[in-house]
Amino acid sequence: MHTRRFIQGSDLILIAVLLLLAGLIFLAAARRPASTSAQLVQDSRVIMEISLGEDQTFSPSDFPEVTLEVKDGRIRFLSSDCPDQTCVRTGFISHPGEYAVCLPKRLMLRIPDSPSSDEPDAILK
Amino acid sequence: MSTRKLTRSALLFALSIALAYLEHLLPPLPFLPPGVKLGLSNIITMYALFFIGPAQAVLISLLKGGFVLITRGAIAGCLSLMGGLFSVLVMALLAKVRIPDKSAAEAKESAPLSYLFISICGAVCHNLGQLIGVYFLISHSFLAYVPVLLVSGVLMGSITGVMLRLLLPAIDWADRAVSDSKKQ
Repeated sequence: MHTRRFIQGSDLILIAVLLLLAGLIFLAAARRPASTSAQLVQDSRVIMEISLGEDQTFSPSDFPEVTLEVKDGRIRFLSSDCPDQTCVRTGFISHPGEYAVCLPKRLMLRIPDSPSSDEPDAILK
Repeated sequence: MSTRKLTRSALLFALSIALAYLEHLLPPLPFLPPGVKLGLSNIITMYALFFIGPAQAVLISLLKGGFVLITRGAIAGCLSLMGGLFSVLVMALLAKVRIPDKSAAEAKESAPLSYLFISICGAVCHNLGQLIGVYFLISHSFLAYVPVLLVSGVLMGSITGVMLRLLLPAIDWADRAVSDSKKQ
């Protein structure tokens, strides 16, 4: 019967596999082009479509306590009165699949998949 | 449940809440993405799992989830339970796994997985459990966030694993102080 060690060789394999997986998923996500619009969503319901084309700072009419900022084709929560401020600390988002969430308000700012995603990724012959 | 078990559970639960509070007092590190936390109270869950038993570890996670539910509301409580229970179940399974031991004299000997290995898996699974919880709450896939959770799981799991190792004498001492006083 062996006693449990604190660290051993197999740990390095685990760490390498996890970091490699993270790198692959990151590369796959980063290869998608930046989007031109964002959605404000509450409880899976799209409240508002926001164009990322022109810089602006505004508060959605349903959420006057939240301020959003669009700048250089990216968008972020500029301020919010929620306690944890996770949405604000997320910072700018611009790629499809990225999001900033305010869980206390069940509010989410997300970048939808680009319209061109209807086209096939590849055609195998 | 005997008085001794009850007292021990109460002590470990109090320790895990105290560690979670301590972590809450630390300022958020600017270079860390939002939502990434140390998970210090996982030290206590791991102690319970390795030195008392899986049932005790699951109990601590349930109590902790209940505490978050009462103090921070339903959403935070559910997420705490999702992360905590998924993490503790995976760690309990991994604690039983045995791998071939290359350093052993005989080829057939096997060794348990290391504390570090299980700690990292626990941290990653805590993150994944919460991510699945978030998915159910706002039904949007979060694949883009998975790399962040994997890397932070490796980092934070290593830190809590090392801290379990360092704090082991202190937790042992507290646990034995409770247990011994009950025997007399």
